[in-house]
Amino acid sequence: MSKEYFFEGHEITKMYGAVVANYKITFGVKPREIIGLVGDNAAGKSTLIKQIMGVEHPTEGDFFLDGQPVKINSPMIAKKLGINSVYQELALFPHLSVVENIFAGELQCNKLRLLDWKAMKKKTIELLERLKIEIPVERSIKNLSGGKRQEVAIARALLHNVRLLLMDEPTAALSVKEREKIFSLIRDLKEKHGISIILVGHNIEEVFEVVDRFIVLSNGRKIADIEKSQTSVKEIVSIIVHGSPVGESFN
Amino acid sequence: MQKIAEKKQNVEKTVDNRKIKLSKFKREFFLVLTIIIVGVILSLLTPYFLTKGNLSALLIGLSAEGFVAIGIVMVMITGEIDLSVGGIMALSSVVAGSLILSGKNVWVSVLLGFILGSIMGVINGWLIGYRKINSFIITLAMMGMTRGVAYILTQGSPLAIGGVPQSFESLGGGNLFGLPTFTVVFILLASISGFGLKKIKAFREFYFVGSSENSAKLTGLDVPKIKMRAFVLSASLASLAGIFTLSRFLVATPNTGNGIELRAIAAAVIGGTSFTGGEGSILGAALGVLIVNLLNNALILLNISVYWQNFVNGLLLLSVVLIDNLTQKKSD
Repeated sequence: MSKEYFFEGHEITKMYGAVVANYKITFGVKPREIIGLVGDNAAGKSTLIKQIMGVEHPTEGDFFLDGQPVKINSPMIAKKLGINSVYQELALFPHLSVVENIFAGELQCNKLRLLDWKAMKKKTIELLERLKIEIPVERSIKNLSGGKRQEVAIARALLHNVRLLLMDEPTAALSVKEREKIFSLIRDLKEKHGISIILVGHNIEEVFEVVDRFIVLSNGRKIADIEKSQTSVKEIVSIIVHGSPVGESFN
Repeated sequence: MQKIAEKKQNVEKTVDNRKIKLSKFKREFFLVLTIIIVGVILSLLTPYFLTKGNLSALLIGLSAEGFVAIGIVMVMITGEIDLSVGGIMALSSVVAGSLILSGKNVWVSVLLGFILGSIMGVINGWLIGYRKINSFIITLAMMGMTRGVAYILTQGSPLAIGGVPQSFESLGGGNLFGLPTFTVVFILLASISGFGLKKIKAFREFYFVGSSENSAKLTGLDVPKIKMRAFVLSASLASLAGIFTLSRFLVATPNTGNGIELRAIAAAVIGGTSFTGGEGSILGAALGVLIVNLLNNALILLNISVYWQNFVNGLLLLSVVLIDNLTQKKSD
């Protein structure tokens, strides 16, 4: 195991019957690093994210945190390990308030084992203020814009101490202004809060703005792992389209 | 200047939050208003409406539906439906009645009838939650099976139970604090359930599953277990309604709870419970039960044939769903 990485996946393989979704993917994440996990449709990006988050379980392979092997059997365990996610579908609850969405799956109770709405509301307000997000906390999610929903989803992922945040297409279906705000928030998470991020995206130009490194998947396999400083948008697109940079045989 | 801007922003936030809270009670306010208007019209049309006898009959009559409606609300909040409540009510009532007639202890018989009804909820919950089979189909099948067993056990004839202790008779026929005991228990159950849906995690989770099942899975909620919980509660409440009805009439009949699912679903929907899940309140459903029963009471008091009751209940449900659909489209 490499010492520069705090989180690693070793030969992660995921099979659905005879279909190979991920095949022997080995990768590592450094502290305060943003990784762009890119690839064409059905490349296996979302499957890998779901395994790191404990929603799906690897058929073969292991995860390591701080050099120690970890079994991520459920999203609850992932959260305890300091890993959280913002899914492409956001995993929000449209009929419920911002407070309930922030605490979804981990509602807090008082000493009498009754839901402590007052404490949850207070924590939600503090969390949103820390992230400079302005949303009325009792408003239902269905009454918020796409950008605000995305902000709630990100805030929820940061409720507890997070070391690794997984973001699946965080800017899909957002306006230019909303997209800029989300990218600015992502930069802040890395720089001010010291969080590492694995960012899944389709728009390479957009992703290129914020990431430090690219991991490219194709047909469930890792075909490239490159520092941003050593590549370009054109080269990444070429790897995705041709499986290698133009004019080169890329292994 | 900055302080003034901050103050203005805080005032706006407070007003916004108050508006959100008020909008949550809009439907309940409208329902209370409807009940008052219908009550006033009925008291003007017939002198019998406000008599003690009629009001008492109205309250006892709505209590069984109230028990069932509480369970229906819980199931509907999770985005599912339970059509088996009437059948389970009949099964529990008939099993308890048959055991009493065979000479078994009354309370043991009642307990066994209740447990059997609750087990039907476990079966519903397992098939719907864990096997992921459509709740409409499963509970429709369960409705037929449970009522079928009730008919087989009684051979279609009512079983009159006599010589039961006064304590059992008083469940469905007695009074407590000036109200029918049946109604007092309904109010108690409604209060506990309403409180539970707001303050108890195991109940509140129903809203998460109904609002988005996929999101619930992704956030680590045990969706099958939560659905199982809702169906067991629904069946247990239906079972309890069957036992109370047995105590009220001291007759176990396979017709117990016939058509109650339609009235309970109508009451839940009138009270704001959504067919697609994620929304609903016990207070709303309780007010819905009162409206459904007020209308049925009106038909009787105004000498309109009882055969109109099913039609009126169906029409009421259709109207509410249509109004909901239109207002939903408008807000979208």
